[in-house]
Amino acid sequence: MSTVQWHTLPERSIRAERLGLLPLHGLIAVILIGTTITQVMWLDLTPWWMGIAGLLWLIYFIPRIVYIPVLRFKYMRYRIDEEFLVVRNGIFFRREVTVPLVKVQLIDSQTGPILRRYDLITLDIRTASGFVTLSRLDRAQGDALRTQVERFAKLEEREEESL
Amino acid sequence: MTRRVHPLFIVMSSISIIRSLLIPFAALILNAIRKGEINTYTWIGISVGIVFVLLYGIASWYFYTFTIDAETIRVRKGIFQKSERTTQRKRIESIGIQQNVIERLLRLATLTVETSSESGTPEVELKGIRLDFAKELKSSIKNEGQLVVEEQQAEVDYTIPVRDLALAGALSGRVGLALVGIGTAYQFIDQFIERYVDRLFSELAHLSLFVLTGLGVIVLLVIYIGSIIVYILKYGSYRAVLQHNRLLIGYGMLNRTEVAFHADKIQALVIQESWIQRLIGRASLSLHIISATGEKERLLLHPFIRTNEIDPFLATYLPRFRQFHPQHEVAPIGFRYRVRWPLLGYALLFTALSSVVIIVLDSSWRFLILLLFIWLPFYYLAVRSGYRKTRFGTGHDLLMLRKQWVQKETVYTPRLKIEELTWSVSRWLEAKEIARIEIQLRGNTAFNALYFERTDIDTLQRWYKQSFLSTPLAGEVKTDDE
Repeated sequence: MSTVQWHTLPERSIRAERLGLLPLHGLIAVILIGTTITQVMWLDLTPWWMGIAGLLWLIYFIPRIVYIPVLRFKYMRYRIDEEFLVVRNGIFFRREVTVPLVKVQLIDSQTGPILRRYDLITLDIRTASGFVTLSRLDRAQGDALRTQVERFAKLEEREEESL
Repeated sequence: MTRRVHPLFIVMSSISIIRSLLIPFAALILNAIRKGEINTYTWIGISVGIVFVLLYGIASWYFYTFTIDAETIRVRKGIFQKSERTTQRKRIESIGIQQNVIERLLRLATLTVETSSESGTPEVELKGIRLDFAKELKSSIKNEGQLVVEEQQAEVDYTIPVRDLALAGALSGRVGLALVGIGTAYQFIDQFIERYVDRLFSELAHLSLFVLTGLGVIVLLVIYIGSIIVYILKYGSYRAVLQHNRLLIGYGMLNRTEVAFHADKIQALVIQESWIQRLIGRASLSLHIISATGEKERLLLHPFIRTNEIDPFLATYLPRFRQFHPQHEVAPIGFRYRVRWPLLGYALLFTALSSVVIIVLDSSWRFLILLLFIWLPFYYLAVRSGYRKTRFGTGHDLLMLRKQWVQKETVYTPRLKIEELTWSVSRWLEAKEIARIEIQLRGNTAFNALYFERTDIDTLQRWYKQSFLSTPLAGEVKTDDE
């Protein structure tokens, strides 16, 4: 087995993921509260259904913001051994993907204001069959990974198809 | 020299237009005949339409020209919106000849030239040229192009006798499709022949049950024979030609399809055996290929081959592929998670559903819902058998994945074609040391199987993680700026 060490996400990726969830869920909370107030004050209704909707949202939101980022930090890891990228992730389902670096067609990188604040980067590593996403990597780690993959792009694959 | 396509192109183009408008016009005319509204103006309208279509055909032919010189092929077409496409001859990858029904009747053909561009359609498409001329053009383009070396190689070709096609059609299970087709056709013509159908039904209603059953059997037999004929028409005149590493597969008695590709475009070979085919020792072969235009295609290689002839067939046509026995079986412990738990889930679901229906409904028919439970033993037997027969194995360069429910399907894919290898397992099964495997090929083609022992999966990963590079890595990889 390979002795190359696994890279994990930085701990600040937990905070970044939580912060990234706030705009959408804040909007949902505002909509829920706004529609409840409208129904109570202007429509003279007793909207018990809004209570159910709110409860459902809380059942989703609390684990999503409290536990999922921690679990992702715990489970997500990757390594590059010889000429392969191996990514292990998944919260409820453990998944390990092995991608030959020479098969990588392009790398998409994304950073938003939140990721920039925590010096993080998200990479989409695309092959001809799909892509592997590495979310909220440390920027330096991400750059190193990208450089390593780019080096392989210059090498000749054994299976060059006759075009 | 600039040339025009054959003048019969006018007829072909006109027939194509008329054919595309035939159904709505036929519906209108039939309706008019039924109401007795056919008069001189109707015929004048039809004649003007036909003249217009002919004029359009003549104009299309006049403006459809092509030029072939030493370096390029140029095609110009379009009446109002002109288009011109130029292709470098040295970039040509494959040349094909297709004939649809009209072209076959008129002895014309369509020549397609594909390059390695990613346009998704053939780079050059020359419609309505004489078949002989198309063949001449094909060989002249080839002889001067890069394919000259391939042309000098000996050709190996293979055909399938009509008897085999008829047997394949008889066992293909396409009766359902034929029934759907007849149903749709009936829906369409019903409005025109409604009164005849009504009369027929009222006459049939007076017949005895025995006669009605006999009639039903005859109708089904006719549909069945029809489905066999359709199969023969679709795959008839099958021919596979191998030139060096280039394979050309053509079939179709009415609409002829010819696909030419390089053998290294093959992503996977699939061997399928339905339960009837297994009884008589037959199988069908198909290929997953990435065509010259970058499109994913599943192509029938052989519809009905004897299983003991697969090896010699592969040795001749696809030497890269060979059959072998799988070394790895599914994990016995996975049986309860793949078979028993889903069975329990379905049983609980049916119980809940049946309880609700029996409690809520008042009719005595409500107990029919219990028939759902009949499905469970069949499901159990199929999944149990399917699970136990799932296998994978690795050869020198090939991965083999076999699954068998009602149909046995064995996939062979070269290691170097596998873009991603994945294993996955739910967190609550992680401790059982079992997992599902999945391979991804180009064009989003994926094959998977579950559950295998983790030790077997480790073996698979070690096999997969051999070098993909033409020259092995020696130390640090150098880049241009290092």
